[in-house]
Amino acid sequence: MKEEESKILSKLGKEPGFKTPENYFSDFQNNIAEKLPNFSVSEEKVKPNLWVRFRPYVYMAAMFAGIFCMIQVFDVLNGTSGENAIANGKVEGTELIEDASPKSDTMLNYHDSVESNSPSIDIIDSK
Amino acid sequence: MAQKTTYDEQQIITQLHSPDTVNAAFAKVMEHYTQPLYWQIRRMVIDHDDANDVLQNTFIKAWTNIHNFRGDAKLSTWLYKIAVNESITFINKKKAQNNISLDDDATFLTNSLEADKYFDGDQAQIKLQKAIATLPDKQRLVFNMRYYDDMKYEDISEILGTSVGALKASYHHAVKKIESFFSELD
Repeated sequence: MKEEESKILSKLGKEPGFKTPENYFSDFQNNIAEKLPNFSVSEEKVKPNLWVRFRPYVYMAAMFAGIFCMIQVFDVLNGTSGENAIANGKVEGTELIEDASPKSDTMLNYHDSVESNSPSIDIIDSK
Repeated sequence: MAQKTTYDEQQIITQLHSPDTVNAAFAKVMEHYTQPLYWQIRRMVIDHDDANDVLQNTFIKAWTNIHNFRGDAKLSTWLYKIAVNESITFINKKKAQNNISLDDDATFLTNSLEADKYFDGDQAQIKLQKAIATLPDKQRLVFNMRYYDDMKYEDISEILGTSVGALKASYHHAVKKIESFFSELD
């Protein structure tokens, strides 16, 4: 059966003329929750997904990794990474110098070499 | 006004079956269906305060029976069925209060339409509401769902439990009655 168009209805349109109070629908949704027995959205035990739970730890790890990388970059730029490695005795083919203080004969030799008018003589003599 | 959240009916139905998520899911259902159910009820009971009461009863009934909703039918169909039943129950109670036979039509509901502060229609729209109110309850439902909501006959069939053919005939009779109501007044 083909649905015929009524002339009267097509003249009237589909707006029935009903209204609601202002903000009725948002107010209704706020109020209806109180009227439902044992209903409370705030007490809902919603389990966060895996990413949400581990996100702070991932961020923290990324932050530490970033700091570590920055330190490495600074060391390379300042040329200190090799010195540190030597200081730690980790450079292959070098020996750790336990006591870096000059030995007495070295001082004497040094002093002797200074006697021949080197500008640094005075500094050593003053000590 | 609160921002509307996304609504995925299949996900909502799954959440309605879990005790951990049923509250939040039902809140989303209410947010999604408040307006369409309100207008469906309002066109049946006419008065705003009455529509508000019936809508509250609809959601209370849906919430207290949510465990009975298995997801075999569409959630909208289930909610509309409750709203229709609540509307008819309300109209019958009001008829009883006004000493009107249950077999009589619902024109008494439109008596105060002119004075209703939540109605701003003109005389032609008042006349149309009075014409619709002369229809039997089921014919009014079919007419309102089809004419105002452009609902598919298949969906109306699921809500009212009537065959599509019978619904088409019912709509046709409703339109004829409304036209004759107007021609009698002219």
